[in-house]
Amino acid sequence: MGTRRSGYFKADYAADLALLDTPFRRVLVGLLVLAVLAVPQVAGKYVVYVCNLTFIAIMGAIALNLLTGYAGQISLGHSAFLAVGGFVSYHFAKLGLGFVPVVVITTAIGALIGVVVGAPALRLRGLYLVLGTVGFHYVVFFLVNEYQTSGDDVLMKLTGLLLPVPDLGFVKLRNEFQWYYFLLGMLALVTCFAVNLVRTRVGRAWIAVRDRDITAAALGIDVGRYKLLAFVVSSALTSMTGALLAYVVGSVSAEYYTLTLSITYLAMVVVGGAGSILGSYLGAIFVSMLPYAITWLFESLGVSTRTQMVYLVPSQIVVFGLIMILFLIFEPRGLVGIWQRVRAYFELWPLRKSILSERK
Amino acid sequence: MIAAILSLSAIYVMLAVGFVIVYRTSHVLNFAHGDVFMVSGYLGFALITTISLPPYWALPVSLAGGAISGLLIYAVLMAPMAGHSIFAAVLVTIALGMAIRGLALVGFKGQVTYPGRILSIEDAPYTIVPGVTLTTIEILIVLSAIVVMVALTLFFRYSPWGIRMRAASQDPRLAAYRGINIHAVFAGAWVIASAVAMYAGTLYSFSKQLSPSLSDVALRGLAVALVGGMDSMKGVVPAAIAVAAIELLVQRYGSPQMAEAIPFLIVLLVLLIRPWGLFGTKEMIDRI
Repeated sequence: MGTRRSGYFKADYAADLALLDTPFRRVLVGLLVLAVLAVPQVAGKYVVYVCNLTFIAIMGAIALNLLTGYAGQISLGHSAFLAVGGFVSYHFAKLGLGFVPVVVITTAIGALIGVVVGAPALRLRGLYLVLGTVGFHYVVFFLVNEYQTSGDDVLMKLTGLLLPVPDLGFVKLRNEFQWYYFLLGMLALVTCFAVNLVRTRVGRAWIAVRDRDITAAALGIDVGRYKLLAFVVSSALTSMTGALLAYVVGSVSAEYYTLTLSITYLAMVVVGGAGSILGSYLGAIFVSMLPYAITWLFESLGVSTRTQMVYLVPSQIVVFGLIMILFLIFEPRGLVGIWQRVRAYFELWPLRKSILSERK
Repeated sequence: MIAAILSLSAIYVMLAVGFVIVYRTSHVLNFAHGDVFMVSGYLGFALITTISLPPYWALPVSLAGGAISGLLIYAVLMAPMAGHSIFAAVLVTIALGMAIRGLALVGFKGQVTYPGRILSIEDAPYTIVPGVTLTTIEILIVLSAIVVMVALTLFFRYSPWGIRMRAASQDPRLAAYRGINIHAVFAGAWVIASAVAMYAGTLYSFSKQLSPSLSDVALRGLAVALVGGMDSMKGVVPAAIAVAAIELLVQRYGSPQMAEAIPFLIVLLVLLIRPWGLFGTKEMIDRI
C-alpha cells in the first residue's frame, strides 16, 4: 500500500504541496478523523468534556509552538494571553455582542497586544524578550484581577464572571456534544492554518531566525519584524483560544491564569516537540491526560480521597517539571522525536543504523 | 517608610546579584532562582522546628545548603546543557523552578506561616536616625546585603576566581583557551547565586511571612536586575532602591495588588526605553 518511501518521487508541484503524501497516510488520517468524529456517539458526557478541554489545550499549544518552537522565543506570557482572551470576550459579551463577533474582536485585540509585547523584539535579541513576557504576565494578572473585583456583583468575585451560551445563528452550543463538533472544526482550521503557515515564507523565516539570527539577517530576513510577527500571530491565536476556553467553561476567573499555567503550556511544547505541529498535538494530549494518570496511580495505590485532593495539583506540578527536564536533557525533540525514530526504524527495516534514521 | 524601603531593597539586592552573576557568566536567565529563594525559607523553618536548631544558626546552614544546591543544580542540570542552546538551558531552569515549587507544595502543603513570630525571634526595634526605625532582623538584612555587595565587588575585582569569572563572561571560548576551567567558573556562579538566594530566603521568611508566593517576590528581583542592567553589578544597588521605593510608595498610596505588579510594569518600560538598564553594556543587546 505504499507505506515505504524509498526515494523522492514527487513529479509535480501538486504532489509537493500535498500534506498527506502517501496513500497509507491518507488512509491513516482518514481513519483517525472518523474515529474522532465517532467519539461522542460512544463516550459519555464527562469524556466528551475532557476531550473539549484537550482540543482547547491543543490549540493553545499550537499557538505557543509557533512562537517558541518555530520562532525560538520563549514566552512566559501564555496564560496572560489566555486571560486577555477570556476577559475581553466577557467584556464584549456583556455589551451584548454575539458569539462570533466577540471571538473575532478578541482575536483582533490579541493581535494588537501581541504588537505591544513583541515590540521590544524590534530592538532586542535573545533572552530580553522572555523578561518582557514575564512582566506582561504580572501586569495582565493585576489588571484582570482588578476588572473582576471592581464589578458590582459580589458573587462574581467568587464564582468568576459568567458568560452567556454562545449562539452560532443556526445552533446554540448548549451541551458538550455540540461543543465537541464545533471545537473539532475550529481545531481543524487552526491546524490547517498553522501547518501551512510554517511551510511558507513566514514559517521558514521563523525557523531561520530561531536557528541562527545572524545568519537569518545575512540572508535578508528582517529578524525583528519576523519576531514581532510571531508574537502577533501567536497572541492572536492564543486570545482566540482563551475566548473559546471561557465560553466552554462558561466563566472566567483571574486566579486560573497563573504563571504555572504558562509553564504547563511550555511543557506541552517541550514534551511534544518544539517546532512541530504534530508535537503540539502529542504534547497537549500528554499533558492533558497526566492528571488522570496521576489520579489513577493514586487510586491503584489506595490513597484516600482526601489525601488525593491535597496532593493532586502539587504532584502534578512536580511531574510536569521533572518530565520537562528529562525531555530537555534526553530527548530535546520531544515525543515527535521518538515517533520519528520509531518510524524510521520500521521504514528502513531490516536495514539498521543507516544515516537515514537521523533524517527528519 | 525609609526603613521599609531599606530592608526591601536589601532583599532585592541579594536576589538581583544572583540573577546578574548567573546571567553575566553563562548568559542564562535563571528562572528557578525565585523558587530556590522560596523553598529555602521552608527548609530553614523545617530544620529549626524539627531538630530545634537556634533560629540564627539556620542562616549559615542555609548559606552552605544554598552553595551545595547551586553546585548540584549546575552539575546535574546545567552542565549537560553545555552544548545546547541557551534557549534550552533557560527552559530547564523554568522546569526546575516548577518542580521545586511543586515539591514545596507537596512537602509543606503550601502553608502560610510566620516563622519570626512562631519562633519568637528577638526582633526589637532600634531607631538608627530619627524617623528611621529598623528591627533587629531588618538590620541584619541590610547589613547582609552590604556585606554581600562589598564581598562580591572585592571578589570580582581582586580574587583570581573573580577575575576568571569576568574573563569567562566576556568570551567563554577565549577564556577556555587561556586555561580557565569554564565549567568550574560557571559552577561558581551558580554556587554564589544560590547561596545568597537561600540565605536571603531564610532571612526574609523570619522578617515577613513564609508562603509559596515568595517566589513571586523573588521574580521581582529579576525586575531589579533588569533595571540595573542584566550584566552589571554596580547597577544592582541603585536599581534595588529605586524599585523598592516605587513599589512601597504605590503600596501606600495605591493598593497592595498594584504594588505587586509595578516592578513588572517597570520591566516593560525599561525594555522599551532603555533595555540595557542603568549600567548594563549596551553592545551586548545590540540590534542585529
